[in-house]
Amino acid sequence: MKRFVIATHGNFAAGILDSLELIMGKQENFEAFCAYCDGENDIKERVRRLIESKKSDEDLIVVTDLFRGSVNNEFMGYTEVPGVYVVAGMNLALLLELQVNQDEDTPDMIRGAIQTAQETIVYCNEKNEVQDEEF
Amino acid sequence: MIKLLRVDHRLLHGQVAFSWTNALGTDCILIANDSVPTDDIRKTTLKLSKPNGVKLVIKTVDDAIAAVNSGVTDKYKLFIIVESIHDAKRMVEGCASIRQVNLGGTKKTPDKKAISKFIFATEQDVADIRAMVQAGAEVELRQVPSDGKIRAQDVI
Repeated sequence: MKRFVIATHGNFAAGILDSLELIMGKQENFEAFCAYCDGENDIKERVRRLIESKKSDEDLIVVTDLFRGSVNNEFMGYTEVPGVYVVAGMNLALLLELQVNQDEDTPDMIRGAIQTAQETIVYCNEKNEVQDEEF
Repeated sequence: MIKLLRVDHRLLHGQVAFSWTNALGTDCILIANDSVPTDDIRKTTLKLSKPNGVKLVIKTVDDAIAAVNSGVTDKYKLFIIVESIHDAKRMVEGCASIRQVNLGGTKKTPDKKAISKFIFATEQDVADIRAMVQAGAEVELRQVPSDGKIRAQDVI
């Protein structure tokens, strides 16, 4: 069983979860962790409780908005915990890839999703014409 | 084999590209539309929307019907997308192998009535839906695969 937590500065997590669900339908195992809203200035305790809430048979995949950002940094301390995975630099393509491939082995799923998501950051003005395809 | 024919006025976009190709396990998408083959900008945009590992073929509706009936598409798990209910009816009438029709979205215009939150139909569209059902097609309304199917004949 996989549980995905989208963790971001501010409400980005809730917004991108809404976008994911618009495309893929309601997701039972994705949740948003919006940090520093309503005057919150320390998320250490909330992150600790989240990690503690992980069930033993569950893989907890935390996807954060920004590598080197403080949200990611808080979760980085738990990458040694078995079953906890932290991925930084989220975009919607990454979440879609994770959702679609969630039946795969977790490290393989994450590596594949990162590769595909990176390919979706594109300077469209310079994108070459794609060839016509036939059956 | 034809997995599904979907009506979506935006044709191929994120919602279709990700949710449907994955749910259907499709390996080939056929866009059947009479204006896209000669509209280079729209064609390029659609090609860039194509998911990895899936073939995308763009044809006019008549050419699409001919291709499906010729057997060249038989080896694919084919997902067909059309822009309008009328084009869907043309495909269903033209190809006996198309019997699963999904209404995913049509444009809202003043001459149409809403038959769901995302499907707007003229009287002609309603007649076309009836004709498809009459021809033995299952016509259902869903935006994403995980939505429950709503039978079109129950809402028109």
